[in-house]
Amino acid sequence: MKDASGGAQRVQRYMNRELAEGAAAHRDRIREAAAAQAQKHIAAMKALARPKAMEYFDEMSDHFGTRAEELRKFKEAGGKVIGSLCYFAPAEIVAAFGAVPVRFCSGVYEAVHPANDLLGDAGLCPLVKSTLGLKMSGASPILELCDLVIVPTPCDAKLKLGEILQDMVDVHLMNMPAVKTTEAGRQSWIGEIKGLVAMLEKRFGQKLRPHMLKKSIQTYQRAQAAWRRFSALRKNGAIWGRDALLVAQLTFFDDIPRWTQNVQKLCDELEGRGPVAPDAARVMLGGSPIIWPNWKVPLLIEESGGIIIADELCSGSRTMYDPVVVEEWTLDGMLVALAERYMMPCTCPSFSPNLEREQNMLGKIRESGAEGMVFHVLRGCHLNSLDATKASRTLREQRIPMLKVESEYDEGDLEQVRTRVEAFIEMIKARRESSG
Amino acid sequence: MAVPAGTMAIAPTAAPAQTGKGKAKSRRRRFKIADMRILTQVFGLIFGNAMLIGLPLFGTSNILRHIYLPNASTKFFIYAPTYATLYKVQDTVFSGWNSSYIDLLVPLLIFVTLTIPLGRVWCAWLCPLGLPQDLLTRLRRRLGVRHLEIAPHHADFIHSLKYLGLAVIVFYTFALGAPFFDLKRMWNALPVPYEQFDPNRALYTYLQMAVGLAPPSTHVPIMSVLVTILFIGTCFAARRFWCHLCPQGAMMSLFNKTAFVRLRKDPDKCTHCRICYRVCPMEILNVYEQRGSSDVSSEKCVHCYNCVDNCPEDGCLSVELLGKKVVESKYRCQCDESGVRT
Repeated sequence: MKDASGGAQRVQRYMNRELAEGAAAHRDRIREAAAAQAQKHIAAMKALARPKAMEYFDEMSDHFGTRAEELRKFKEAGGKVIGSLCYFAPAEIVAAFGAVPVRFCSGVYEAVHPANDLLGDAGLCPLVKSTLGLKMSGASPILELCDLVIVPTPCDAKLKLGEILQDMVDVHLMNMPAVKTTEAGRQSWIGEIKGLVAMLEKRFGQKLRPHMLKKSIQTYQRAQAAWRRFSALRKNGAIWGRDALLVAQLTFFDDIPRWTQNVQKLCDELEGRGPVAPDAARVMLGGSPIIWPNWKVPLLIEESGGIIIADELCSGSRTMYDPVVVEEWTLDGMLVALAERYMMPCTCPSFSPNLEREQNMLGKIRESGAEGMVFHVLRGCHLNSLDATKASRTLREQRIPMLKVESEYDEGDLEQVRTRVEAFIEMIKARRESSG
Repeated sequence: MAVPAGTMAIAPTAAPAQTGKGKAKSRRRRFKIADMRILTQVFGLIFGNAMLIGLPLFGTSNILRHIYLPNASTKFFIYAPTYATLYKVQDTVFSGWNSSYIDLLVPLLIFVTLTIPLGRVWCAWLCPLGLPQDLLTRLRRRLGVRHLEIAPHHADFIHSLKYLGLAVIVFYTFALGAPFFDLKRMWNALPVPYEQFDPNRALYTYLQMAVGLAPPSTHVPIMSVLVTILFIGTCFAARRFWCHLCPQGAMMSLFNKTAFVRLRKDPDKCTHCRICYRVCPMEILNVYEQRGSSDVSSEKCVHCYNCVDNCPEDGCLSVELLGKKVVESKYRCQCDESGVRT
């Protein structure tokens, strides 16, 4: 398979001309809808008091705006943009080669339709369908800049998405072990990481030197430090959860040193501030990823009198929370540290036995003082749906209320979800009164 | 076990007030335990158990000479007023046949008194063999040589060898001294075993000769030289490999699991990131794997606290002395220590 720009013919197993034309016809509509969706949410977020430093993140959140333009210029100047489909693909490695890692996951509602044309009703999660639709239609300029997509395969949907994407772009699949308690599983993942390095080395015609990787890891370590600082402030309720989630979201696209700087700036502004909503029900958000601009659930929670003070989303806290701790700065030492960082503490439901997830959820709830948990499940995300059942058991034992919210990528279920969320928040507040 | 819902719900409202501006900063642990340890070890080497200049400081004291230390301080430090228990044990086992080994009582009593509270703390903080291992490990890292990863089950096997070594040493010495074995002929070939291959002996005697503390004519057995070379070699391949095998470590390990110094873990705070296992020179898996109990002390632990040092979760791992928290884990950006400002 040659580079797309080389013009070589791809073997297309899923796509055909008819589908491509149909998808292309969607392009403008998707762009408009996505922009409208984002603007609507930004406006809603701006309606309440928020720090001035958030302006930067608002600006960057636009897929079609400043950042896309920057990346286009970067690529014109000979830079490489590499996509990844999941939390698991270590951005540090891509960045070590001087390329810009971009996370491919999509939260655009409208983009689901081209994917439905291809898949029919496959029962896949809307995140995967939206990502596929975005690529099929070519609506997102940032995604169009990616020469290669790294696809770790934590779940069936991502696995097949990786397969289908091969019709349109170069794909590197990474096999995710589902059991991480065994040494064989860990070794297999380390092998995948080394395979990724080998593949990128070949593609870029450049050997990965320890100093390159060290520099890149340190860049991310600083970002992680900033995120930790931010998390502590967020726990105090100094910022709305939807803003915090947007900050995390931008690690998908943004220039990481600049992101770090801006997070620090945001922290400086928040330092010493009291909670934005002292009476709000403190909620922890977990479950399926919430990808910008799919801000339905966070906005619903916070408009109903809650505040998201912690999350365990792979699109939220998990992106930057766990630090890479390198003991030995040899290439091997760094790669092992990276491999373990992305796999070991990760609470993705694709793992079993996923004891970490319940333990971390409880730990985070205690640490942040959350009064309840909202477990978000994208319809079709079976793994999170199953984990929700497990989580509800664990939380019930600890007498922490939990609400499972299933949602699609459209606004059809908005009012229905709102009713449930409102009732949940009311219940939390009622509990507070009755116990204190 | 179940936390009442009320406390869960109400406690958080108090939380924001606690984490003010100054407090968050002052709580940050600035020093690294690893650096503290190097300092203590150097101090110990000069003034403490190895006593490079012990004699000029304290003189030859009969009392001090009989306070045997549990760690690997050799009898052959020129200026050391005292030495390790294992030497004393060997000497008494060898010569004690006629006195029914009654002389063993005092050294063992001293050993137990020093080891029951501290366990193997001696190994990582004061042992004169720990310092060279730590320094050579730092050098190895500078050179970019990666250590061998020893799989847990292999590590367990290597760890068990130290007991075998200790048993062989004690038994051989006993056999040498006991008349019915009639091994006097062996005396010339291998007199008292540990003296012969103690890596300390060659390591520090040559050092002392070099700086003029020991006369150049000091005898160093060839075995000791070979073991020292091996010892230095292992530092470039594995972490604290000697500590896996050390017979004195074996003696201390007997009390390590019940020492007053405990390693504790808050399983709720653990993210199972495996960092503690990766940084552990003794390959102790339990700290990483433990989900139930809060006590993760191990018989193999040398108390270097690399795990506490590197654990990224605040308060997840901690060291307790008699139930009092001495130090606990605290997240810190690794960039801070390599001199790069955030």
